[in-house]
Amino acid sequence: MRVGDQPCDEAATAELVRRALADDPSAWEALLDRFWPKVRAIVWAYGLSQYDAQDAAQTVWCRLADHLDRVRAPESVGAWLAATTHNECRRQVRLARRTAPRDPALLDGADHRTPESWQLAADTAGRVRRAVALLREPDRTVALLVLNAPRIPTWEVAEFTGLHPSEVPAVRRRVRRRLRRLYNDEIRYAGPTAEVRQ
Amino acid sequence: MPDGDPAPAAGPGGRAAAPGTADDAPADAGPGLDPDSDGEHGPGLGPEADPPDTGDRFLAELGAAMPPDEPMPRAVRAAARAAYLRRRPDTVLTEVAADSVDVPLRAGLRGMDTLAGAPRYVRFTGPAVEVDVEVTADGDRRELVGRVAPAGATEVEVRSPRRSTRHPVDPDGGFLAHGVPRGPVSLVFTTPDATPTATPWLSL
Repeated sequence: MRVGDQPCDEAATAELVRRALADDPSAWEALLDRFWPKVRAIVWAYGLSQYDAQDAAQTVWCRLADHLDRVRAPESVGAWLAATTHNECRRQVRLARRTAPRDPALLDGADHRTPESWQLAADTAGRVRRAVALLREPDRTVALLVLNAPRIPTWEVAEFTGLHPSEVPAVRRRVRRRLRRLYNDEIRYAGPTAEVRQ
Repeated sequence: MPDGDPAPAAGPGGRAAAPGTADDAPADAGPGLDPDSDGEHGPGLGPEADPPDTGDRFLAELGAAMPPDEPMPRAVRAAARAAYLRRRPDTVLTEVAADSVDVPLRAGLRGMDTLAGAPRYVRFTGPAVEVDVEVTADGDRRELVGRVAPAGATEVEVRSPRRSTRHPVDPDGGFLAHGVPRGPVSLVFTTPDATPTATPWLSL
């Protein structure tokens, strides 16, 4: 636990929320910049199309704007954002299935239109997404944070997940272990050999 | 320690599947597996197999599947700015009580084509108000037909990041909005001598 920087940075988020509430657009922009990489990491996990991903992200910020006036604990905005982003992405996935009729085989986000050279990267992304999807909270969000930034500070993980900072190191170790096993299972059971395995 | 490192190779089909044989894996090692039981019994992956440095390398390999840090798309930032400017702290916020999008698809019973053209029904409820909206998609535009109960609202503002439009509410509580852009939308009802009511932002 980093005693030094953690209270200071939590205070920074609360302070930005208060300033944004008091009609300070620069504080709002700072909140967006502060949380965008984390929101983006969650959105990525859902494998949405570019437009659906943008709709989901837009909805998250719109909800945050309305939430500012009603938030009781400004320092909990990060955890609220993580939960809201998951919810909006799940809704967007269901919405996309209705409004964009496609071959059901494509609905899982596998992008068969990518150039041949990108196929391997796309396969890896699909495996990572499926492995992450098998985790429960808070492990799932922690996994996405560390995949996005392996050296993310403890206080940032705590702020975005609502975990106490003292719990974070153990959760990170657990996530790393589970993710490795789930990913290896993906290689084994859902990898390129899946078709011939029958 | 690093010599015996069983960390999986980054590439698909690499040596990642090597430790142990697939036959050693429990039969239920699929989606239904309880993640709490993992780790210590994984093939070749005892607790000692995961020193911090190799763990970080493994995460970095997996993390490479995620595109590197991208700036926020322009449209997303513009929407965030607009939503900030269109905040309505003076309103009572309703909740989504029901949304037909949340009803699981039964692909075997209803074809995807039928669903694509079918309207979406959303019900919002607040302390003293109920709003029903039927949303029909036409490309990137949405048509909203709704009713607010009890009647009494005179105007509804359709908030969207790109534009905000006002529409009359008839004496029965009915209202209509055409050409609403896809993406987040929120409705704000004005009722004479009462606190305005807003629906939460919802991606339509």
